[in-house]
Amino acid sequence: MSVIEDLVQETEKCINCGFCESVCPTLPSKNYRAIYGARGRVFISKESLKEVKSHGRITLNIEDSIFSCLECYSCYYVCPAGVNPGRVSQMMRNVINRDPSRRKPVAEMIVSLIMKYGNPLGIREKMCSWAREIDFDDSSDTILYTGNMYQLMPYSSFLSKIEAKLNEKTIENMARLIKRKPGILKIIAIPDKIMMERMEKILLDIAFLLKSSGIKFRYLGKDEPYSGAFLYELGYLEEFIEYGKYIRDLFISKNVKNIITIDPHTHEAFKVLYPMYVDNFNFRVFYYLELVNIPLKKMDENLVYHQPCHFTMHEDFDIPSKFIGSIGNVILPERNGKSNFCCGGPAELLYPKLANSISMVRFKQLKEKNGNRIVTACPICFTNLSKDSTVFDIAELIYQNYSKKY
Amino acid sequence: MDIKEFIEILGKDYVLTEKVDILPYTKDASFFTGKLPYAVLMPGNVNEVSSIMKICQRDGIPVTVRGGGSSLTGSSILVNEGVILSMARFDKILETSIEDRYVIAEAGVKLDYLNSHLLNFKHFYPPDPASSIAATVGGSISTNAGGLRAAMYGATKEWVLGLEVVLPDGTIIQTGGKVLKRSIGYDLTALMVGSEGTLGVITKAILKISPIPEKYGRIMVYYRSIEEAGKAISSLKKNGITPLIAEFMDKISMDSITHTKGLKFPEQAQYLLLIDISSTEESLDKKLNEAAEILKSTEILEIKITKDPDEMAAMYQARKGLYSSQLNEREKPGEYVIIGDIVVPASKLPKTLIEIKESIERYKLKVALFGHIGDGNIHANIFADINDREKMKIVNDFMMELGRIALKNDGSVSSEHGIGIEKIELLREEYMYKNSLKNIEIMKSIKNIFDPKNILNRGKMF
Repeated sequence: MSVIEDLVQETEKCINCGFCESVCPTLPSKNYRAIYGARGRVFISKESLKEVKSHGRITLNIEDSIFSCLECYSCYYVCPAGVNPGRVSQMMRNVINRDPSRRKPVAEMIVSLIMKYGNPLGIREKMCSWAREIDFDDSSDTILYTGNMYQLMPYSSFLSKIEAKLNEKTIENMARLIKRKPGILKIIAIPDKIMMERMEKILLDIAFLLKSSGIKFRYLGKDEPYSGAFLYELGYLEEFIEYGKYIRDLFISKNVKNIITIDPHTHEAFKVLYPMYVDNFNFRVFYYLELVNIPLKKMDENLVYHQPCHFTMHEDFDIPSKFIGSIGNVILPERNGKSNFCCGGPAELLYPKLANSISMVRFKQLKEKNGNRIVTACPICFTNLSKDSTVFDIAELIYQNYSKKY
Repeated sequence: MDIKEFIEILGKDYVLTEKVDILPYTKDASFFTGKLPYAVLMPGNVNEVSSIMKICQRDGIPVTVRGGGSSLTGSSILVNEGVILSMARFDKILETSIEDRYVIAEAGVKLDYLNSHLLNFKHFYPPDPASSIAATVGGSISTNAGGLRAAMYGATKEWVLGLEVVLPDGTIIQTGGKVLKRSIGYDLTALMVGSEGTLGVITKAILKISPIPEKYGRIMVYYRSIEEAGKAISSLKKNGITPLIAEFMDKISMDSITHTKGLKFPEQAQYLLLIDISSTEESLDKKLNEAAEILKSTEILEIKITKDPDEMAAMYQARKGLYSSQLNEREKPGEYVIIGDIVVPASKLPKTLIEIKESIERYKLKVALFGHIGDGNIHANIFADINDREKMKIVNDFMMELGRIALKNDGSVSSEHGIGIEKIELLREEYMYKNSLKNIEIMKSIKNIFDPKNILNRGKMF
């Protein structure tokens, strides 16, 4: 079935009941304008598909509505008709991208850098410095795969802060320029130093926890590419498939059999998406906490857990809760599980103001639970929700509980 | 019309005029498509609503108020030209008093959100239309929404103590108040309930609240015969049992739930009654068993009692989303599900249900029957392609007959969805049947006093 046929089938099921709209995080943050809610997105997708059928192209200005969707899928779980508005947005991005004049320049820049350098900011060589003092087992067919995610956060956070200060036209012109001359980004992308130190420490914690659990693994270092998840999320399906083949071949050439992922986006890309779209993507994929097996001490601490949407709503996977529960009392905010409220992170590079507005709402919801600490299990969530010193990554939490030694 | 005036009041972010922005406001949850509005206006406080109404009154600009956009009769879309007044930004709960048993909420607050707030106080606001996740305080008052719990608690009109309303000329009035009783002439609060945005713009409501029932359990009882299913409720009521919820659904409805939610039902079951009984923890089992014994006096196929909260919640959610789930039973994409909504006294349910079933067979339509049977409310959802004129003529004839069946059995043509665009003819039918067409004249006169230029929700109800 083609993307268009799939979209027509999905949108035709909708009867505008509005259930999805009531849980959509972007709607209140965009002043309740209907096109920034899940129902509005499905409706204008339906209208746009009619245009494609009759005129061969879309005339409505739907890009910002469609690209601002967080794809958190909270809408999907309240839709009684089984429509997934998040998936509609993801597929509509693919339809929009077919017209080069309608593509989002920032998305184009990111895609171009991933395809050229295997990294969304074209700075792959800077991604492996955290691991310089670790002894890996180079004979192992298991790799610790960071996907550059934690390492990228200090850069993307810095860039989104700049973006938030500029107007849309300036950002788009900059993105076009960087796409032509990627070297510029290497000069202007200055990571937040404190954040970088913390992210590198989290990566060290993860490696330590795996080693302490007796897991033997190696790391591809500067050869490790980004996962490609962004390509899929931004609707560049053809590029995603091509990039998946590149990753598959790279892993085969490096004799990789098992992949230990450390974030939900990469886990979903490797475990669910590539096997669906790329032939022979046959690797055993783990999330690192599936392999961590160490004694933990239960403390009298209330830990408010913000679940990652890609684990709870995309994959139905919730191993972090088990670990948090071994360390303290797991407190979940009102919106959790299948009605989770996104951190806003997926909008950070294209719509930083929107991402910040949503993250503030979520942070407030988490703080209202009056826990001792807030715990996240995704570098994007962690970055977006780190608004005070009570926010921790799950690796930090486990490491601190397990050992003071390092 | 000068858009600049609205921008001066609201700021440009809250005046939508671009086509892509206003297109979604041409649809609500009904099968109607409205006209494209000149603009969608999104006020954030009562003074802004007042200023907007003054301009619209001065220039004769028709205004349709939109809450959650979940109307099933086309109440919240434009029939002709005009502007849409979105109440989405009225999203705050202003005051909660457990001592005096009320909550004050702005018109755009969603009902489920209101109840999640009240849960912190172990209280709730009983009206729960199946669309409560999307439906708003203002919208549900405007249609006098009912819902599953109306079997025990009645519809919205029982729960509205007072309102803040902006009249078409911009005047802001307060009706009712925080007390349960009041005897000060005509009850304007009651008049606003069910007025479908034709008299004024509701901006704020004082709502009565109730403690959450201590405990409840569920009886699921399956039938082969529609008549026997219809007898169940009057049997319970005759024996002094008022269920918290009493829902009815037919095989098409059960199949749709199986297909969308994966819940299974006995293969031979043609009809299901879902009955919730509330009680104290100590006496719940006794009350459930008593009710089950009474139900067994009808010709049942199977009966099951459960107190498992997860099982009850899954079925409750499935029932609330039944209308949308039925879409999966459509024979082709684009086919619509057109909703019938009538009510009869519980004692007339067996006869009414048989007459409806015979009518469905006569009209050769695919119809899903379900409803809040505890208060005699039956929904007949018709599967039809709205672009097929011939088929739609048959659908319209069936809808009229459905209304007449309700009237013949001492009921009404509209139970909880209102009139909107869809039931204008049926409203007339009801008053004609009662030899009371004067009622429509009175309503029109009232409308004229509130809204002499007929700017509010023009083309609805009459």
